[in-house]
Amino acid sequence: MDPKQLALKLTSIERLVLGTLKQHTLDELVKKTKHTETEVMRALQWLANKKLVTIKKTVTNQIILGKLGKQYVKKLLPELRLLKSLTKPTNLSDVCKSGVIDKQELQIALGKLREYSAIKLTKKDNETILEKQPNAKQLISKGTIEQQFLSDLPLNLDKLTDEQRFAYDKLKKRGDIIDQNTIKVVTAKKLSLADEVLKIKTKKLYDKLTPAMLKESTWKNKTFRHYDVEVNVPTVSGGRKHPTAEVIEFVKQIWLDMGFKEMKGPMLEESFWNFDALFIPQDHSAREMQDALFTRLKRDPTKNNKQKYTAVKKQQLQSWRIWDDDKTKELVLRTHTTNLSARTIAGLKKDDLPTKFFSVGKVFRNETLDWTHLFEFYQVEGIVIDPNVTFNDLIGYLKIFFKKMGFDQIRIRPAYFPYVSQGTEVEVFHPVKKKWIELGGAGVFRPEVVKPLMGVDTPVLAWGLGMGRIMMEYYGINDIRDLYKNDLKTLQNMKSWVR
Amino acid sequence: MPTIEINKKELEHYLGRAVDDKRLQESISYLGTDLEGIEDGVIKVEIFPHRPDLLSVPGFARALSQFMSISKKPKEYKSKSSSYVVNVEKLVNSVRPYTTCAVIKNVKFDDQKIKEIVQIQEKLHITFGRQRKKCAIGVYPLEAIKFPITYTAKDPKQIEFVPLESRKKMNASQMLSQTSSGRMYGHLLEGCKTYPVFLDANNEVLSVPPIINSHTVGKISDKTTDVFVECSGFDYITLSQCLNMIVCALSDMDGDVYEVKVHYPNSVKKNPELKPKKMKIPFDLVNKRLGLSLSKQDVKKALLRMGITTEKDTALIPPYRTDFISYADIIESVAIGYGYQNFEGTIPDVATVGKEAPLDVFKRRLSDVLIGLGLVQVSTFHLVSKDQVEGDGVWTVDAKTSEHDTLRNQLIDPVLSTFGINRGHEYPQRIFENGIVFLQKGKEVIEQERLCCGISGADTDYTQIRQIMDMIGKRLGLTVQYKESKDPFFIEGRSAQILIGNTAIGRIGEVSPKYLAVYKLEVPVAIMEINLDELFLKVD
Repeated sequence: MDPKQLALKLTSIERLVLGTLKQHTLDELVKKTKHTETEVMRALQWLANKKLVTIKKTVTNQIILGKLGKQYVKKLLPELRLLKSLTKPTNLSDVCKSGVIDKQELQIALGKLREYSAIKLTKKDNETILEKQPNAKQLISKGTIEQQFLSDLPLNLDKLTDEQRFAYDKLKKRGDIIDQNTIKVVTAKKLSLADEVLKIKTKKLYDKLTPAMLKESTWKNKTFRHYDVEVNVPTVSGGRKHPTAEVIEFVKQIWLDMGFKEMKGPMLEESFWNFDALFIPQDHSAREMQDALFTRLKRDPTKNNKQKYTAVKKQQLQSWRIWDDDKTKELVLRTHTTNLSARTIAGLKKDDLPTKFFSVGKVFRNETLDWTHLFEFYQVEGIVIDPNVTFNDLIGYLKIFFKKMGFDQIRIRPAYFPYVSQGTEVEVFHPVKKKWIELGGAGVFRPEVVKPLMGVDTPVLAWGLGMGRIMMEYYGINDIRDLYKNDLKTLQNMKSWVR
Repeated sequence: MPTIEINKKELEHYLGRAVDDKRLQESISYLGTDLEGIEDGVIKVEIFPHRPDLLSVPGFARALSQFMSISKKPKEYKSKSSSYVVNVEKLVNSVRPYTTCAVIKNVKFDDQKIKEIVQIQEKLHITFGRQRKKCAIGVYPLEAIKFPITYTAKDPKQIEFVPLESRKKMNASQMLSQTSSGRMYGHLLEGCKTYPVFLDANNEVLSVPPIINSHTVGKISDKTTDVFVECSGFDYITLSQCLNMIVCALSDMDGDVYEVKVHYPNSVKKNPELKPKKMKIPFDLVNKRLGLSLSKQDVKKALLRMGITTEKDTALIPPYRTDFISYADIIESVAIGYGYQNFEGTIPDVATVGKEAPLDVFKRRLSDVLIGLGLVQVSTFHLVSKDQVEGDGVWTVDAKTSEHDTLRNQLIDPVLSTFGINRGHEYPQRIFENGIVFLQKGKEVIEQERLCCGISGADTDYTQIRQIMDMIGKRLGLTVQYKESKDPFFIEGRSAQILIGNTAIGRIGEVSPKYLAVYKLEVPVAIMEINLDELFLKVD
């Protein structure tokens, strides 16, 4: 970059550091510039970004004195202390009495001195006598390698002489005498471009435009320091909507725009509305505990609903020939939001038609939680109740919905759900992955569902679509559990739903 | 849903010609079965539960042949009259009251066909037969048994026979514990004083339904050509449908079907009943409901592709189809026969007025306020662990994810556990969650919409969380009041009830260190939780 341009970008501290620097450590620079370590480090980082300096970080392992080591460096290691105090042969039991050495130190001192052959122990009448040997003299005058090592500390672990290494290994085994310290050293070196930049004289550069400058109009003759505007800045993140809430809002808007009303209703539902009203036989496998989450609680579905209940019962008995009133009362976590559709059409009058409803809500299954399975997930439900509506219209609605969700191509194929005829499986074409993704089911409610609930047989288009896969694709998630992990950092860094 | 594996060569044998994979793939998908894949000459297909007739290779081939227009006209299934009789005694009434029977002759049972017939039986048992509870099937070599056959019930200790694949003779109660079928299906006879049994004219035990056949007279071999088939259970219609599916499959294996007279104490039934069921074709309704304008001829052509022949305005539903309940099934058949891929999609130009649920609009507004205040919305599960509820929660039976088996009854624990997850991240953290909690009041369960906000940071205190609640009040134009309260969640002297007018709508305070410790939190947390249903009423 042009040195002139660079000169305009230097902060006062950068200029100071750069002026001071030849090749220095961070500590040296802190001393010389009288700024804090953080300030100098930041300045160096900026200068490095501008290619004016290079920064090298090295890590050294330093050996330092431990708690005992600090004492021993002055009053000597126990073995030397003991040896020096032995002016004459002494009874072992009397050694500690002098206070030169304590009982703990005595054992290790004896061991060390025997290694050096500096003492001799003799037994006499149940007593042990301790006396010096010829080697002792030299040890007393010259000291030991370990003692020398202690006084040489601190030392760099990677640069020990053989003798020092020997002492280090010995002392390491004795607790608390030596310790280790990791030192990070930052060294900076000025690059040649820096001198060119320093040569350039600029007017005084101002860092900030202050309110005072504006008030007093003193900004007019001032030059403001140029920023490095291309460099990264620290992240800020405020509040945000949960990603699933963003998608739900978007989905809801699509249906609202098309004139659909929102349905709301219970999650903990009577089996009657979740199953029986939808023509699901009482011995159907979807009603088993291994698929659905039941509670031990019961609620009577006949309350204010006697007539429809009786009609449903009659239909079930006629078609499936089994019925148990008790089974309809069992409270289950809704396995689909179609319970809401059943409740909704049961409440409609002839004058309400044509009409359309939707819901986006959680449904529950008895699943083991893993990376592709949740025990609760969202379903997008929709129904169109209109005497003139057709199966072809159903496909039309689905096409529009998925187009707005970003999928231009949909494919429908026959599938089976007990409560619809013309059951279909809905797939969309993923334009990037070039493959079909299954996103839900649809169909036209069977007359066996509609007639008992509405009293008349009217076409009701219905669909129940999943959203998990759309969300995973959009947010780039591979593990479905991550959607509900609530890791704040992930939530704050995830992109927003923009469609 | 059951998946079947079909050898492509075998399928082609029934189709009478070779078909390339691509066309096969396309046809299977649009026929109304879920193709999982074709690999190494094996076709894997998921069969939907309303089409048990497709669970056998002949059945599947029959449907496909028609759908792909390989066959011009579907086969007509007929039974020849005979003098075979099965006598049903009154004693079976209390254990397994009904049976439907047939005889099929001239089937060449090679290994492949034996395997097939076993597979059909097995798949029908699992699905249509609801694990043999609703319907159990037995197939026997005709040459080994002597008519008339008796279906009766006897003391299990007096039923002596060699069960299939066993070596020694035993009685029926020994059979329950000494054979694998007995151990698997024995529970179906639990508590029965007598067991159902088929006996032939020599008093030889044929089988003890729904458990097991006899080894001596109930095992088909590659020398078998003629078989006796029986279905037993509790619902005559189900049994009759099940028998038809097997009989038609055996007939497709070139067998000749003979009828059997089943004598009940008060009536005689002739099985199988292979006459097609007649249903009127509602031509106008077909077009009206599908949004098409097909001619009568087109409709009939579509039905024929589905194996349904027609007589004038009447559809003849083949005996193996069990799923035709009403006109809707005719319409569905026309749609599939016409081809789902041929529907373009239309949109009716009928105006209706959309409306979002008012509480949802309210919730969204509140979220906007909170996000403006810098809170991040989190979303946790409704199902939590047993120790994350206040008092006894509503719990679910046999939840597979056992650490999530209880319905949450407040949002404070989920919010605290979210802070727990984020222990390693930067502070302060500001979060909120809104959603349903489940409150048990006596025998009733009330689903209540709640909002919970939490702040956690080194200097977090009561003031900071109060500021949020105060701001909510301000934005809603409500006067919020606070009344000091005692609540085990909070530090004593630092918690309050939140009131609008005289109604308590929630609680607020600094979370007690005891609760912070549960989630291993080492940074203070202040929390507020309010009832949104109640708050919404106040706004109105």
